[in-house]
Amino acid sequence: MLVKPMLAVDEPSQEADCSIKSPLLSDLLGAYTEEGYYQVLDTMPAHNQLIDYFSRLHCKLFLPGCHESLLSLKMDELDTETKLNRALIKHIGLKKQSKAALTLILLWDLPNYLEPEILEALIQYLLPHCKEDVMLHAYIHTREQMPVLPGVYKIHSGDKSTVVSKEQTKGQSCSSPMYYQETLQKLMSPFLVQRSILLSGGMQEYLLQRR
Amino acid sequence: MIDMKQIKENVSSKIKTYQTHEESEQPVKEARPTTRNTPAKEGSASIGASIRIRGDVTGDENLIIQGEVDGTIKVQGHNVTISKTGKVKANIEANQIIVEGKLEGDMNGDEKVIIRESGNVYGNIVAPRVTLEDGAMFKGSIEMEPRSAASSQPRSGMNKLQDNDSAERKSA
Repeated sequence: MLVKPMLAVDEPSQEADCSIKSPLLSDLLGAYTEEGYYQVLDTMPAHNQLIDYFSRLHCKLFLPGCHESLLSLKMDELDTETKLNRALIKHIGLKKQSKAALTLILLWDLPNYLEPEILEALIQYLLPHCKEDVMLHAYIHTREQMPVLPGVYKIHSGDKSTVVSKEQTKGQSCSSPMYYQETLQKLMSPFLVQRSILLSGGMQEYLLQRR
Repeated sequence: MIDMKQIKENVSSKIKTYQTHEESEQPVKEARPTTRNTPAKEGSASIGASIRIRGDVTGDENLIIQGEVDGTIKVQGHNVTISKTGKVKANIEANQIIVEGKLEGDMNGDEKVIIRESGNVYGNIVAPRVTLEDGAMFKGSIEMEPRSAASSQPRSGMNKLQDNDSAERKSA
């Protein structure tokens, strides 16, 4: 697998995109077998590499393409729980009748960019649509500065393993919430950190599991 | 409303087009904009760009939609192509479904579903193989089976839905 070092988030990128090492996600997906049945939610816009990657498995992919619309949610405009819930249903599309039983949720670096209340509401909204042992994957910035916009991550197959490519977000940086593990677990309760690893670019890769 | 006369005219003109292509030794790319990957040997019905249909469409031949359909579409064992000008609000059951236009509805493809670059789809897909070309817009869910299992056991869409329900029950 060709792995380029991830670029520092506070340095403008000259490259359009790069591959990043994502060992926890690779391990998790590497353990998926043809005998299993998996339901995966990816918040990124749908792309063929992801579909192709999961075509080896018996699976259901939920691809609401809601990354940008979730970023546009503002707590002061969604002052009631009902309004917030309606907005989440509108953007993610999972309803009671969806009968979803998610095995894996891919949030990428979205948690860094959502208002904490919206992140909490998002997790609570997803819970009824999850399996008891659902896993959640996320990247959390550990440096003070992060790109103004989240990256565009795409998961696909490498020579022998899982590859995550990231389109660099060029331009200015902004302050990062720098969530520590405890804060993250509080915001994402009842998810608890199962594994975490610091990636070369200053992002912490987290794999959380519902407890 | 269904304009049968215009549909018949479209069908006969489409068949003529295919015959012309088969007779010609030179490949004619431009003349078949909506039939990429669609077998042209069989006759195909066409819903022209000015046609609007509200209701259920069933048939025993390939279907090309250039107009608007609001309802359901079932052409088991055959292919459906929604061309660039096509606007469909319907659940579709077919062997192979190709979307180049707009679709709001679920697709059940026995063999394959292809969403082309110009395709715009809101809905759920159940098919053994799904292709999403760069630039295509898709929002919804995709249910797939491993390629090996899917290729060894071609089954109807309804069977697949029943199996998936049982898999969901197992996983619950």
